[in-house]
Amino acid sequence: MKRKILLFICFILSLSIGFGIGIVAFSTENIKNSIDGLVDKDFSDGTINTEQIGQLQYFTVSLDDEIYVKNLLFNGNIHDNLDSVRVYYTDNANKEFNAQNSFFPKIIIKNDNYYLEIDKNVTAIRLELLPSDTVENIKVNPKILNIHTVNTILFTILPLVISFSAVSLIFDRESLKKDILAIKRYKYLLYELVLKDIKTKYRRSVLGLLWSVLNPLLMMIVLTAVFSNIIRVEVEGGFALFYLTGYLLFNFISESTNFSLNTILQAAQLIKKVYIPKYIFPLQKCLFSFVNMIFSLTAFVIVFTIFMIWGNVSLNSSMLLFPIPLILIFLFSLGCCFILSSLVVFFRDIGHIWGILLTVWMYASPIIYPISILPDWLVSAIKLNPLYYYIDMFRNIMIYGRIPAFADFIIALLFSVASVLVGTVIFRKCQDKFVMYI
Amino acid sequence: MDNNIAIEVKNVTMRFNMPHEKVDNIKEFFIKLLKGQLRFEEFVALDNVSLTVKKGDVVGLIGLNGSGKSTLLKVISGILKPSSGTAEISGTISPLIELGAGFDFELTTKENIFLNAAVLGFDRNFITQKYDEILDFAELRDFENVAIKNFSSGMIARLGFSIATLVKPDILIVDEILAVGDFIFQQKCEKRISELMMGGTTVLFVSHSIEQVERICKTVCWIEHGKVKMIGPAKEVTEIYKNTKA
Ligand SMILES: Nc1ncnc2c1ncn2[C@@H]1O[C@H](COP(=O)(O)OP(=O)(O)OP(=O)(O)O)[C@@H](O)[C@H]1O
Ligand SMILES: [Mg+2]
Repeated sequence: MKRKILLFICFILSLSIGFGIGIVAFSTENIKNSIDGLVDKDFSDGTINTEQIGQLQYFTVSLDDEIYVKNLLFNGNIHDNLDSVRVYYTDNANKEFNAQNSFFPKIIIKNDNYYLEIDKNVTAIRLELLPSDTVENIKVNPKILNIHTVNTILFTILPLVISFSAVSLIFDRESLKKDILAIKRYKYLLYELVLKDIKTKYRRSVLGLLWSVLNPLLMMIVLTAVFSNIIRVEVEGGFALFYLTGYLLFNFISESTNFSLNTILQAAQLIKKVYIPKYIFPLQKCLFSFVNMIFSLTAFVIVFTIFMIWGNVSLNSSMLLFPIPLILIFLFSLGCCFILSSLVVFFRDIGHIWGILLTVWMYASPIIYPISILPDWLVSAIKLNPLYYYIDMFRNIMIYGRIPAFADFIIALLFSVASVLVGTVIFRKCQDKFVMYI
Repeated sequence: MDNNIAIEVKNVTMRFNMPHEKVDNIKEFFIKLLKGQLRFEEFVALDNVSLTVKKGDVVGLIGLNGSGKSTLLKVISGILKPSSGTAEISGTISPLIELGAGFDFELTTKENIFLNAAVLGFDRNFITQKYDEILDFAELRDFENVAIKNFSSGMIARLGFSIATLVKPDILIVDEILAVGDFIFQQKCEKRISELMMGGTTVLFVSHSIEQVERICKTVCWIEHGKVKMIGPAKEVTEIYKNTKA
């Protein structure tokens, strides 16, 4: 009875949090912007610099500082065709433009406004138009169109999931506490198990540790060749680093979940004959993959250094935040490992299904493509994918030197917490039955 | 729980679900579910068992094959969760249930010592210090780097016993593993057990060798078809047990 009331309260609370945030974000643009920690900049006061050179018109707006601009919008009129609009941008302080830093943006027309997708860190932007076109009231802002629905959904569902699993765990707190405290006694075991995994991995292959660095590097070289020369995907900071960051994080999820599929079955001998808190085993695989990922980050360091010498990227203080996305993705993956490792004991074919799901998941995550090349509805769909938030956060911090948007950080955090809690609930429901099915 | 009670088993019932056919994948599960064929047969391995063991007691468990002795020990050591009832213990427990508990048969003796010790909660430094003592007691020095899948049952039992009794546990559970040791090793083990008993360790002892049970245990509990048939002083219980057996 008490439990039902509690669940009901959680339900109402989550709904109100989600819709509250959604509605507020929807109705007042400015609050949404302050969630992002960034503000609109309005140039309707006449600070637009207009020039005519030859057959073309140029409209330049200049920002005080370098800021991240998601969209540029203006009212005016484009007579001929939208494809003739070209955007120059610069991120250096003296605000010089060159043809290299220019592109033909995606343009959306809404309520007589032209929305141009910029998605860059800039100090100044210049529009190139045909003489017949007119431009007034330029505004730049960090908003992403149509994001409100996604946020509303996530801010409703995630708190709902979190509170429901938390309630379930609270009613089970005595034995939960016992299980968690057991880690004290079994920390050496966990350490031995992870060490054993690492030793067997690096003992088996001749290249050893080198392999976990070479593997991502080779993948990166091949895909960079394909994507930046043949398919021509334009990505800020170059495709190589962009791909490498996404690959490393996705590889962690894929490796840890795949390893933990068999972990309980492999530990059958131990589980059947001695008491060991069973969560040790998925935790072991997740930690092992995490260590692997840390090794592989060497590849990132190498490529980053090369690019730094070339001058494409530079060191930034935001890089100090790097543990945050890594810890968050670790927690998220741990939850997945809990769920998979327990379900597979009862249904052995989950392994095959998971293999297929992972492939789908990979293409549904912005690893080999930036979301800026996608239509709006797809962007919204991808923003329901938890991996998007971890990868985006990691890239922002490591490549672009940007502090991630606050709302995105909160969503990533919620995803991690939800995953761990749901995983714990499912695992604890199953763990007493393992012994009879292995 | 009372202060001088080491093990308290209260009304423990252990049921096993035995499916008619093993269903271990989603496809079969749904087919069976739709056809309504997802039936289980219940098997009661322990039926309302209660047992209290005082600290420092040495209790023997006897009974025929399949009567539920190992199941009871597994419930006590937390490997199995009872379907109903509770089993509580106080202090640390070293369970030697069946041969090779806590071993990975692919690993060598050396690796297994570290693994098994970690399972019992000892850290690496401590085991490094005690390493020679373990090997010497088990008399396995020549097999230090041999994978234990190539061991004889007696050798596995030695290794298990010498790790489990390395540090005085509060509760020691010995399930038949001594039966496979040769007589010299059995004597050695009995000596170790008496030493532990002097130190106040509670011992639960399962053996099909009635003489051994009589020699080591003060109290004996007789289990038959998952129920406690009789519990009392060693001599009395074993006398009746031996007579029914014939
Ligand atoms: N995981 C399991 N699933 C189904 N039945 C089981 C399981 N474990 C034990 N049983 C059943 O429980 C009964 C008791 O088994 P247990 O191992 O406790 O016997 P025991 O008294 O130790 O016998 P023995 O003297 O041969 O060692 C057996 O009939 C066995 O089939
Ligand atoms: Mg047995």
